[in-house]
Amino acid sequence: MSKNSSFLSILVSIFVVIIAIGRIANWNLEDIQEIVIDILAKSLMTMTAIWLILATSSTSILHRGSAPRLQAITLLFLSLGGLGLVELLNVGVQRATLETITVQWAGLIMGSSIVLFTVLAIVTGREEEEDPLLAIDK
Amino acid sequence: MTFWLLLYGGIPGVLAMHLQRKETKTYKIATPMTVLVLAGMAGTANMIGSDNNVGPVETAEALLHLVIPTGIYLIGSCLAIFGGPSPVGAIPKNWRRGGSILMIIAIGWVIMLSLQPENLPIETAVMNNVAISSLLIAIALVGAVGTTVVLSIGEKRWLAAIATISLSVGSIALLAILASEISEEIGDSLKSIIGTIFGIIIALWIAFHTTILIEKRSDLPKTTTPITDEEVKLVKHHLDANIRGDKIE
Repeated sequence: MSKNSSFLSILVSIFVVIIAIGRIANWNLEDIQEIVIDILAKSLMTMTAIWLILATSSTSILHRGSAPRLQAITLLFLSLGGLGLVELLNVGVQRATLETITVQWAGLIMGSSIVLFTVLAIVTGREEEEDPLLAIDK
Repeated sequence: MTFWLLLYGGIPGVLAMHLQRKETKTYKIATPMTVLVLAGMAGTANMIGSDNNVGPVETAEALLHLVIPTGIYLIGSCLAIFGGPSPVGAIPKNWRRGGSILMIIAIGWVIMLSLQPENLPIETAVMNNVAISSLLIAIALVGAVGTTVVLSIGEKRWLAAIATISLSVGSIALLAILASEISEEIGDSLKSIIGTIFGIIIALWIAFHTTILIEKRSDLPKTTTPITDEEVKLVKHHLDANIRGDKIE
């Protein structure tokens, strides 16, 4: 399969699953504006968190000159900008939102790792060949 | 807000400080800073259930409930991956079957956590619905993507494709069963996961290009001085001695 068709297949599979779960969650076309704004707000919160994590964790490269300092400050400002954009969307960051999104991020990471490790376990588990050096003892 | 700033800003910061070289000042203040950050988190995590019945403690409880089955699953899969006829490291030989059993136990735990959490030996978490809906949606989405990727590679890894599609369809089926009770949480988790995927892609893209822009315009750090005439002579001398076979005086 070519690269383009593989990418297209991945997009199609994502859309199929999203539509299926959206139907389960009773999403309607009339509420599409509200859904899009919510998704936008969540993506801005994610961006804010990622820029904050990158800005604070870049302390490990600060000894390399002035560029990493400028980089950390820029990322901090981007992070603040992300928070401002969330406020502009009239959604706001409330305490309950942060708790919920933290659990949802953890769920996303753990769900992804379950699928990834399943593939690895099955792909490697089928290879039953033995190390010839270990077989010498027999 | 302080708790979350410390969690997402303070923890990566102190972890990065610990990665510094030992002789640097930053490394020397890393441990006191870690104590301060942890103390700050402990001091600000005391608002249990004051807002909508959820707080940092309830979040930690939900995370713990997610970590138990996921941890068992990952340990099982590591045994299944590395415990073959030629085991890796300290993993005992031929433990693949044991690993597979652990993986099945973890899947059973997730099903119980979704359908009958009250029958588990641990108390149901306050945020169980949020945790389980996001876990199942993530498995469904990543499982579908995984199936497509496995099939696209085209090496007839049918078993892997069947496993990923089963995980995906099974998760969607569990969500459909739960839909009557927690449809709002499912919708919210789906929005969050779509938003998170977009957010990660855009944030990393912007951060990467910002870094390139800043690094491009900055001067190179002055870490070395230009080579002196004496050093040139010394290098030439060593080259003559080692390559041409001249005697060293």
